[in-house]
Amino acid sequence: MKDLEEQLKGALQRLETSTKKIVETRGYGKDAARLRMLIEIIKEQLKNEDPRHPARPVR
Amino acid sequence: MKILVIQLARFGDIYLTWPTLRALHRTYPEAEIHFLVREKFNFATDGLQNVQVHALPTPKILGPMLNDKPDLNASEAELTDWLKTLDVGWDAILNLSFSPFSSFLTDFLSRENTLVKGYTRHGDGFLNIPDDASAYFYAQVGIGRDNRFHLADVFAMIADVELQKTDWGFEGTRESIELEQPYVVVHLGASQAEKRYPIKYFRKVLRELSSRRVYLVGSKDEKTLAESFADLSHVKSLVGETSLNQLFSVIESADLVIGADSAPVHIAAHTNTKVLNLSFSTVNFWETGPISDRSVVVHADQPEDLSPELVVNTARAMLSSQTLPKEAISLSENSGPRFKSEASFCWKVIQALYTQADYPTPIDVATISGVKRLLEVSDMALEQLAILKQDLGSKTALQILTAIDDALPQIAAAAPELGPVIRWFETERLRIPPQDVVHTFKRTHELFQNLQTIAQVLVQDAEPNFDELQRQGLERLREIETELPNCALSFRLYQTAKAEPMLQRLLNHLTFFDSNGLHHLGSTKVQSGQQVIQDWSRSYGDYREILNQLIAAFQKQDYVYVADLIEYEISECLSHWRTQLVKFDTSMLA
Repeated sequence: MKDLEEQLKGALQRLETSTKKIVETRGYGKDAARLRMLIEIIKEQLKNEDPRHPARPVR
Repeated sequence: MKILVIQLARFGDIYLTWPTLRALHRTYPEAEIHFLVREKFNFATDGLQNVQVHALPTPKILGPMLNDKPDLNASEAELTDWLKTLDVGWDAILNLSFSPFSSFLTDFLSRENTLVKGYTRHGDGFLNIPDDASAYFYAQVGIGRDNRFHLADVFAMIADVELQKTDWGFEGTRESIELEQPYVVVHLGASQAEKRYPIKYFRKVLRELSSRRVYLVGSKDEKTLAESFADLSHVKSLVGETSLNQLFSVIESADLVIGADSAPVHIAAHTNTKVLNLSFSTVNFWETGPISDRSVVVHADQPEDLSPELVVNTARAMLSSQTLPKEAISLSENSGPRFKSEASFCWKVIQALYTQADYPTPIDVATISGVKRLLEVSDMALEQLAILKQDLGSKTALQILTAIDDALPQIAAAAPELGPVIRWFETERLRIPPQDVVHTFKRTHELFQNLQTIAQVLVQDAEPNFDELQRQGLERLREIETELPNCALSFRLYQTAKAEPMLQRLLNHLTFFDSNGLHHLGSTKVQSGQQVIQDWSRSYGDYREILNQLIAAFQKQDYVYVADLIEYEISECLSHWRTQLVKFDTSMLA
């Protein structure tokens, strides 16, 4: 379980770096949006797939 | 017309979305209605008709990145493939999920002519809340907020449809089971451990309900919970043994469903079976509680605080149609909020903000103090915006506006009753789209003008209730003075595990004096109490100094000095406050 969490955290870090680069070079578009979706799916898993979190972190 | 409704929360929320889907079908009978849920909760769409269901395949998307050699590109490819199946040019997308993922998805699937409601994204990737109902959710719904509308009604508001009684119901095939009538259904579990009523309490409740057959229901994971009732002959377990369609039938034929905030309660809404909902502070029962007629809620902050006697007495009263215990809360038959609730100041403010109702009169001293600060802040913001209009590069004006942004949450913390106003304001600012400076400036100016008007209305009606403040102040002082000697002694004996919670309680009580602005009384218009007010302010200054010393000593683990400060300095300070508070009251009455 711990390994799974570590794997997800590693993937999250790589995706965040890639997204940042894309947004810096090309702006926010479909590619960045896809990566942001992957990032958010992982974050939901790290929170036990509980999607009812407060809206605050959304932005 | 193609409408996509996105509901990526748990299955409780899926059941609460059913009525909105039916209302959409009724309102737009020619429209294709598509419904997106998580694969894991797909089964909660069984029994829905006139809707095409899609599932978010999370395991398939995440799978490649969880291999021995994680492959992010393959995960992205899976996501891309899935997105293609959904990217069909929707006429409307209604996102009822309020999650970051759903907001990116909504934006991704939207085209220029798509009508979008619910969270989505601006062109720069920042959160976009296009409709007022979703903005209401963002600002006012959830734990610690003051919304009183049920989530099912909020979903309908976002979709802009009117719900009817017939929008609740199960359209699937019923699979009945032979059960002994009449019976009560009990769900022991809950989606989260914090929502679960202790099994030992459930045992007490079910023992007392021996005149009826009781059927326990739940998922396979909850089978062990049911084992604790094997010795009660009138209790039979169906836990993990019913299909969803059977569960609908079991609940439909029950006289009563007892359970926490979980699936059986939401299913009962569709079979109109009355519910006794055991509710705790992890959820707001008025937002996600029962819907069926004649349902009742018994509430406690913690599951351990809800007495089995109250549950038994309420269940008996519900089964025999007798008078409910006074602690029980029944479903309202009026329109609007589904549960009767006290008309709190915050709820009245929310109604004023969103439905043009009159603003309530602030009487709490902290609220009045906060309103004055809100007025000062909005005046100041408008002044700075006027400067910026002349000189867009004015660093000072920008710095002051930034400081104002920081001040607003502080006002809400010091005056919690103003929370709805400040959350409304912050949400509306968030809704300003990325655009040219002129438009951003204009919209910001309008919002501060609105905030100023609200503060003006509240301040002109303010009537401080000093009697209530004095009563609460004296009560707090009594509690502090009772615990003070024990707290000091425990620190003196280095019994820190015992002393620290007492110190925390002491500080919490003292915070009351801060948060109620007692040290600001000098700025009120009460002439008769003037001398007392000045004395109070002086002693408040002494107290702040002593409190700083106390915190420093505690951090250095100098517990003897902590004890000295509590026993002598704080104690003396409180004694002085008591005298002043009583005198203050006397002069007020005079």
